[in-house]
Amino acid sequence: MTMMTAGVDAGTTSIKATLLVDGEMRHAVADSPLDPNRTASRLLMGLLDDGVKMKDLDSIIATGQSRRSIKFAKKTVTEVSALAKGTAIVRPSAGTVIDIGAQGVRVVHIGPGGEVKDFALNTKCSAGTGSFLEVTAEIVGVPTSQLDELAADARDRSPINAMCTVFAESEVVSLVARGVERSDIVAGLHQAMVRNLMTTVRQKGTVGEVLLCGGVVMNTDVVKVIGEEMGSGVSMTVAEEPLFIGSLGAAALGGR
Amino acid sequence: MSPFYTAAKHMLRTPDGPSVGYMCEFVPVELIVAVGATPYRMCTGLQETTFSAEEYLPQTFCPLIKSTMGAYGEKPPFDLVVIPATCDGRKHLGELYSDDVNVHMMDVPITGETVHARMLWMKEVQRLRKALQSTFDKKITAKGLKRAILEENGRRELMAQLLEQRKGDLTLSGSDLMLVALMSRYMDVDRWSKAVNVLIASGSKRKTRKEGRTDRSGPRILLTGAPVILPNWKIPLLIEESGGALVLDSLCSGTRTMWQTAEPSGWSIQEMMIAMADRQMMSLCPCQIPFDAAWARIRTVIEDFQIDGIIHHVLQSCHPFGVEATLMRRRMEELDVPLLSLETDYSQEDVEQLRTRIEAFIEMLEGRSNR
Ligand code: SF4
Ligand code: SF4
Repeated sequence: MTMMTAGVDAGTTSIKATLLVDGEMRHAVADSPLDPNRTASRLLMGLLDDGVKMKDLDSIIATGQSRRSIKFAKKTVTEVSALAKGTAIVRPSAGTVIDIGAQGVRVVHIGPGGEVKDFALNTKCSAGTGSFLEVTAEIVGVPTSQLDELAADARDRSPINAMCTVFAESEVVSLVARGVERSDIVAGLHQAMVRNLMTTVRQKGTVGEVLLCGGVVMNTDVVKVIGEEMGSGVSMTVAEEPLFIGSLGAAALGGR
Repeated sequence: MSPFYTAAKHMLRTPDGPSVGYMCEFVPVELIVAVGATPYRMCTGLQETTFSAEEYLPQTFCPLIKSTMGAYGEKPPFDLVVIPATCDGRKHLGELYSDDVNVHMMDVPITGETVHARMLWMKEVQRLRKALQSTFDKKITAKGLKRAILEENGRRELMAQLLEQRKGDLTLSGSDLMLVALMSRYMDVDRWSKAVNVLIASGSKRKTRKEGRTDRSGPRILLTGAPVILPNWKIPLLIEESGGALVLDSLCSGTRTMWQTAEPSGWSIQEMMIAMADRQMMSLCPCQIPFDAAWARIRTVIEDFQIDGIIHHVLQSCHPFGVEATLMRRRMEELDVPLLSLETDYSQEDVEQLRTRIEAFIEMLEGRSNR
């Protein structure tokens, strides 16, 4: 019998689904609409082979901030457990995973079998998350996907001091008004965002090798700044499929 | 449990007849009972009233202080208000009340373990006795005080029995246990004791039939930290909703020292005063240093009640419990028991964030027990 398990990671801005068929991974992602339950089931159905039905799956586990709205899931787990499991699969040598999503930063210390040893989550504030970049980049007029390219041209990172998205916004407005290069502003925003996310990382620190995942780590300049902040003593890799570590973990947890 | 639920509904109704509002567990309630007044713990858990308090207090005070100030305004409706000068909020509340409110401050020694601290505190308890006598124009007699001590000790012994049942399978939810403890501050001895006796009896029946509830078989949690007062019940409820077995709390609104009796060496006024003073001095509150006594209790609880993990509750802007979280984390490194420290206020906004933290913590504990 083939083993088929699914994981759904229902985040605040997107929904990720992973199907594990005898260890083979299939992923899909969609923007999070008003109805995460429908979107998730549509995503999952798209991953199934012809003739296979949802009810044939051995398990469906939901995770992510909106996990409780995925009604067809048989179980929910927190992002923390899902990330630990997912990391143990894609990067068994990692002792820590840092996930930077649209609204949340999660730092999880992982034991040898993918179990959670300790964790830290960002508090109410979103200043170290993807939404910080989204909001501030809009003022500069650059789509978030091009931020790293632009930052590559920067001569300097303009200092942005605010610890809060709203205040950072007004700082950016005044930088733009003063005619500061857009590339320098964006590079500065990356620095500010990373500085904010490091407050969550420092709560518990990191153990061993670090895996970075989440939508934000597709931004190469952000990854570079994280590396600088962590120092050369920490070895760090970016997940190959950074969006799907949580959904993969959720799928794998169903296989036990 | 229904007598407790009913009492909880009426909790904010201030007592009829002579009454004394008190703000903290350092106050020996026996003295209040002995003078013929009803003690009433003034701490509140209402969010609405935190906003109105900002008229009097800096926004950065803890929600408990703000809520209490907002609930009573400048005129708490008691014959006497007793406030131990512990944290900054408590120290100053009395000064904000209008002049015609009868306020009695108690000077709580900051370092709890020295000889002169004990002497100072003894004098403070004597001063409280005098204040009560002059407020109600009535003498506190040895006979009256003895009766009050025995009554309150009766309650404490019942609490000790109820706690004894927390070893092993749980027959009562942790949030209910916390409610029982909190309501001891609002129900008279007879009504409270009668209802607790029912719980103890049904608990021991279940225990002998081995009917611990299976839905309470998750990781065993101890809740420590800042007081949890109705209706701000989100932390205990979230722990249980997330599958944790909330074994007991160590909160001053709950069972932290409630099980401890006052043990006078004889029944003279002097001996009884010493016993009460000594008992209250062991409130294990982080407004006093050092942390050693509180830590010793936590260690004992971890062992006696087979605790798998501790959740520490910090109210926003509270310095004593914020520091206690750090002290706990440090000392817990020597034990193999994980700690989750949560900072929150009286709002419902952060419920989902708290839920994720608590669920993740409980999943982590489950993972450890599967090892
Ligand atoms: S925490 Fe300490 S100061 Fe505050 S009410 Fe409890 S015993 Fe009193
Ligand atoms: S929670 Fe902290 S700040 Fe608030 S009253 Fe208690 S000790 Fe004081």
